[in-house]
Amino acid sequence: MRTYLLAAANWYEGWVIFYLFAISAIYMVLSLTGLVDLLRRRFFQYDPLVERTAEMSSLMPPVSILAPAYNESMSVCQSVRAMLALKYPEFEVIVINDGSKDDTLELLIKEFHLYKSARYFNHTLDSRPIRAVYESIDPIPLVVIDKENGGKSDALNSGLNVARYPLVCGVDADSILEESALLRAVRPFLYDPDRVLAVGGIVRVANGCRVSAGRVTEVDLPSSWIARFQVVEYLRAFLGGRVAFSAYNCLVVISGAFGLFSKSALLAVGGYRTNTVGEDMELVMRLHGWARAQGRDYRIVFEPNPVCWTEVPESLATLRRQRKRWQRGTIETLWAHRKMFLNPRYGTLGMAAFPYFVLFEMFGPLVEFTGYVLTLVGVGFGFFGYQTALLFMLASISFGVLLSVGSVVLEELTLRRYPKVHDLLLLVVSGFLESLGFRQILTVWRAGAFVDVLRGRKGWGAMERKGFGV
Amino acid sequence: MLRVLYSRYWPLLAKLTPLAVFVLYMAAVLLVGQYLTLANPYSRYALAWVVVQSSTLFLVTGGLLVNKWIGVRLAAQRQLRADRIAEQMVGFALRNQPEDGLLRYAQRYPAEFLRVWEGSLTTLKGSARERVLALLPRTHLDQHLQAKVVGSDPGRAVWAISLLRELHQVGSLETTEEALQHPAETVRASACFALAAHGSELQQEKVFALLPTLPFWQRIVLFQQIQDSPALEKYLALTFRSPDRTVVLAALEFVLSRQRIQPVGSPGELAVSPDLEVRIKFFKALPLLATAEDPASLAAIGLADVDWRVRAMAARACGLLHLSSLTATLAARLSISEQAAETGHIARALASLGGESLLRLRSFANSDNDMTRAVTVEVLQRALLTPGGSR
Repeated sequence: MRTYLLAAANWYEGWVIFYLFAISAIYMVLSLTGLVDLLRRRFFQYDPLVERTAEMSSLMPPVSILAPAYNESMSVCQSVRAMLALKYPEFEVIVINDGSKDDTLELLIKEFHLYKSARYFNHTLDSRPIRAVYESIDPIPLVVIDKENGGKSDALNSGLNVARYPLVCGVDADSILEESALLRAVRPFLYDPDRVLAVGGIVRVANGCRVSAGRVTEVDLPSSWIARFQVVEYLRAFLGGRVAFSAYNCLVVISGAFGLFSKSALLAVGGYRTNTVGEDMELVMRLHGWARAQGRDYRIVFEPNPVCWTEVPESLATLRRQRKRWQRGTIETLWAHRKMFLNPRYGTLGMAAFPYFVLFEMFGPLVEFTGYVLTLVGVGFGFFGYQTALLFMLASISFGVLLSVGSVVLEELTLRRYPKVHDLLLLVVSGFLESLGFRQILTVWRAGAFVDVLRGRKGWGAMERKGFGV
Repeated sequence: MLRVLYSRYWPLLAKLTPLAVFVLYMAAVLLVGQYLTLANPYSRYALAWVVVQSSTLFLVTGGLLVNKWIGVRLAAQRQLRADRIAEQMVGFALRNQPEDGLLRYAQRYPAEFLRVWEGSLTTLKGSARERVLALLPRTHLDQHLQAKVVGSDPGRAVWAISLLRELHQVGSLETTEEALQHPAETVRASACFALAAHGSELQQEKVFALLPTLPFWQRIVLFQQIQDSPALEKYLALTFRSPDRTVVLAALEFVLSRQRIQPVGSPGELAVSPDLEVRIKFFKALPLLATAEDPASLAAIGLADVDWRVRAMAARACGLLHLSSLTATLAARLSISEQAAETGHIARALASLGGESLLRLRSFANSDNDMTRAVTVEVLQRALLTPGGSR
């Protein structure tokens, strides 16, 4: 019995080590693909005249910005001001107050001189009842929907019902869009108007940056290590994978914090699903499925230049809730669309991106977590020698360092948003340190999300905000 | 390298490059594995992987840090020089100080000089700006820029075009015309924009001929750059009678984009064009078209169209052109409209016409049709609360 147990433990440990190397290899290819694409974008610089002129053109497609807000009194006014100051010829900002328990609505009414509007809209998508729609008496394109609490997806569906423009941009009410973010995000719709269904922008960490009048005026790194690690994580998530997946038209996620969609496509797929916490990923998967079923030649694109700045949690408790929720969303979405797995009908999505997400994003934390447990148990009970344990630790750490430092390298070679040498040094150090504990903690939390899914846990959990510039 | 980027083989190369680098990487792992002495081959190659990966990352990050350190220092030095040049430029432009110092700087530090020169053009006005403009040919840097326009680096070419367009020189415009053949799309587009804004009549005609073939985003920018000229008048007069729908659509987009009234002759037959998109855009542009035909009779044709989007745009035109004679037609359409967007446009048109039209609109606030009633109430509320809100 002991012999079988030993053999099984050794086999599993060896398999986990192989798994870590395999994921390193795949990530490397993705990063290189992303690098080639990003470098090409750097060479294909745009004439600044294009942005200046587009800003004034009445031919630009108008955009409805949807910003769901739940207990966002700390930052909502600043975020709305920033949205209203966006450089774009024609847009409306629709803030959806999703039954906030704090004074989010009252603050908005007072700050922007809102009145109860008789605005007409269709109930095309199901959503919780709307109590009232407000518009500003000032000449600003602001609409506020006050509705019963139903979650983020439900709020976005309400916003879609009320929106009047052909493009809709989903943003988080606690995020700050850069002035030219919309102009840049809309470009793929202008270049390829018949094929593009959705465009995702990059989300960057605002902690540590100087924010004034709803604008990030100076880019800097946060002072807390937890937030710094997340800067590296965000770079990894956006620059590492999404650029490459976008190049092969198999982008799986457009962040809920900043995504631009064709409204007709969103309505055609039935809007956002309310039974998942991974509504952003689920929507993109459904768009892929719908477009393929229609036999449409389509594109879902990631653009690294339009930037949305967001505040990340600096307390471990909040971070834990957020990460468990993200992982739950991934599991729920991949399970809901399991028919795409290795299905050639879905092209590169079914044959490459979906399996990658299942093997490495969904099961990755579970495999790594069991690897840690087995290593500790194996060394403790003498199942295998120190050499195997050391190899596992080396594989795990070097995998993490490759992921993190690789994304910092990508950032510096291409977009260069952090101007100081000190920043780059800190990012590299964060990339190393992140793999020595922080990533392992995240792995344990993410593995724990499986338990939540099996127990049928729903809901978002509270997010604590400090507010921008604090 | 840049030539490779524009070659037709690039898409294939872009796909193969990551794989090729990965194969090289694996070869390095196998090579390092040969030198390690671990007995277990699995452990040996795993360790070799870690060694290669760590060394690569170490070298790349080290290189980047050094590069950034040097870059930041060089940028600081450049900024210092630019500040000195800017100081002299202000003296030259505003106080008419001698230009000798500036000419010396232009010879020694052309990049910094051009940066300051470009910045001065955006901040200065009037005679000071003219003085700064005239300075560039005396530095002979315009020739340096002309070489960049046809160079292989698209970023520099776009930059050079944007600087040269300020000079309005025949020589510079001829070089810019050459850039219409550049392999990079962004450079070709910038050349189009510059020629549309400052080119000769012949050069402008060349750009107009390209208009329908340009991607939508380039047309958006180009429309804003085109200056009023005889070439433009000729172009508009011809295009509205063109049998080619792309040509007509481009011309309508141009009018919409300018948001200025344009004399266009008699484009009335576009109101009954068999092409739906042409009809929609025609009625959208109608308030901006100075036509020989009566706009009210054209709008009436639009209000009777079979497609609701055409009717909606015709209604919008009625409001913007204050065509009160069509009040009865608008009210009749409002009572049978089934599309909220069309209803909204008709209601807003009636509201903006005011007087009798507004009274007619008020009667729809008690309509039996839920949608008509709701839209009417919304438009009336907006008209009452916000000045100009009915639009």
